[in-house]
Amino acid sequence: MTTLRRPRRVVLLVALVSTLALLCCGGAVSAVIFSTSNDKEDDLSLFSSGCGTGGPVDPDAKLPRLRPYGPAQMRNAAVIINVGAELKMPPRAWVIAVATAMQESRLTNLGHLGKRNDHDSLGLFQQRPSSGWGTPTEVTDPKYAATKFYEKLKTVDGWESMPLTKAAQRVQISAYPDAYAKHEPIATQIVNVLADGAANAVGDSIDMVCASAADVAASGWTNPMAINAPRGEEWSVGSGFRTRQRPTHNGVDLIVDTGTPIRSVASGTVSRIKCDETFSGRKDCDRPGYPGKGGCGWMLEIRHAGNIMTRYCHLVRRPDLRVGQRVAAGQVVALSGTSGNSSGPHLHFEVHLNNDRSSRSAVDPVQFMAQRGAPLGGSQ
Amino acid sequence: MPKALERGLAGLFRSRWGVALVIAILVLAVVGIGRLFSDNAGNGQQLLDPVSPAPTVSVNPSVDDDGVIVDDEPPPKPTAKPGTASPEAVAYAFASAWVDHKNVSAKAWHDGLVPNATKNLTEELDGVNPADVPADRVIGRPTLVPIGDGLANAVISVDSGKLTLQLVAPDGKWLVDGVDWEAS
Repeated sequence: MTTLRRPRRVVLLVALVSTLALLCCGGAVSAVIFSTSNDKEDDLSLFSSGCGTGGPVDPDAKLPRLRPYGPAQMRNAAVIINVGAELKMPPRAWVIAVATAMQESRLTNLGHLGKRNDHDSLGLFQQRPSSGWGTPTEVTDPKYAATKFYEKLKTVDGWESMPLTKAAQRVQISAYPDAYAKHEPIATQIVNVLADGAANAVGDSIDMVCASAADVAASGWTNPMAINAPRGEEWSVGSGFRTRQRPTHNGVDLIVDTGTPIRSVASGTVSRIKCDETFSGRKDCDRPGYPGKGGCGWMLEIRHAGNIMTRYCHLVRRPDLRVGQRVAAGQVVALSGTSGNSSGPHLHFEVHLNNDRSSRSAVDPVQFMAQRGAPLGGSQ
Repeated sequence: MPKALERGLAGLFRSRWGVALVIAILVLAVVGIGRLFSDNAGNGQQLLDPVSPAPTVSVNPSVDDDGVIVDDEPPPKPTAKPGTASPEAVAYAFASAWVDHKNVSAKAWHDGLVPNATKNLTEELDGVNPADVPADRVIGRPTLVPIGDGLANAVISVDSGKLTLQLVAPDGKWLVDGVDWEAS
């Protein structure tokens, strides 16, 4: 009898103990399980934003990947960023340098490609020994190549406020100067993951502080309004993007007085200036509008790198620009007002993706701008 | 199960102290493991610290839908003023001059681009070594993609890939303002 009961008691006891352990420590266990699975999603770290205070990572450390770039390429990016920091170049320069190397070499330290080679161009930045960049051994050393890039960038007058592709072109002198622009978004992400959110910091300062509304972040983005406050502290984001009350509201309303200077949120090209029709088909945008009138009033659209378009509505008068004109990040492009379907002075601000001006392509500006280090404010 | 182990376990669980000891070890082990891993998991906390100098939010319910009424209209098809070249013709002429890069001096190549380029692009291309042009022949006719009112992209096939020209029409005359090329 006893020999039969003993194993049963053991089973019972083990079951009891493990149940108790689970009950008291189950939370800790599940927390461990969930948090480790989060770590594997590299996307999450893209939104971490220390504004660069933590400094660049060591290129020899284990680096996060960022599609389509693998470990060797991320290592080269880390070298470029570290050299920039050592040379006391501000974080905007790091983004420009990484984007340039993405275009020139896909962040791969290219040796001689034989007949296909672009003459004697070599290394991360495709620098040419014959043009005085250095010996072949030197320009294929990532540290040397990055140093040479920064040294030449530093001599370009006003590079800090230039569109990325223009600054890169002044150094590289390519036959197709607009090629660098398309790499700006991923270069920004790379600088963020490899340098503690440095692309969110003030772009032209080595202090590594988060960009305020008036500053242009190292990502190249800034707020549509430079002011910080009606009451001294801050201006407010009114109605949000596609809220439950206003599901077709494809932008955000920023409450500001008439005549407030409106700035382009990034460098770009003016693509549309228009007095939007009202419900009755009239075009009288020079007078203040009212709720129920319909339309955007005086509106402005600007195209940015990466097929992004921003739209600014209810302006007080026709913006003094022409279509096709290039504008810089933070450049004043219009004055706010209350024209069109508007109950009071505010800026209606939209962000569209994919080179599409229809409402389908609109995204939440609050989220979009926060991811670029130029937050309009939390939407919650 | 070996007899010795069986006997040992049975002995352990027969005494209250033995049971208490097993429970204590189990609890310590679980908490310890949790502690160990939670340090690494702490990285996720950065997500909770958004970029700081953010304005506050206040909702203004009085503003109705205030976007564009008819927003789905695509940009108009680019047209040229009477007496000026069509955007297609401007793009084709520019592309032909751009690929013509062999056995020309830098100045001659640059001069060939100037008639169809904006002042901005003329400056951007200053100092380019024509040997760097990555294409030899234009293959197809330009395809126009309207981007805005008086703003369009022209996409042209070349022997090595795709040439994209950004066209603008300041004062009604179409000119090339930007150049990009991608390998096929």
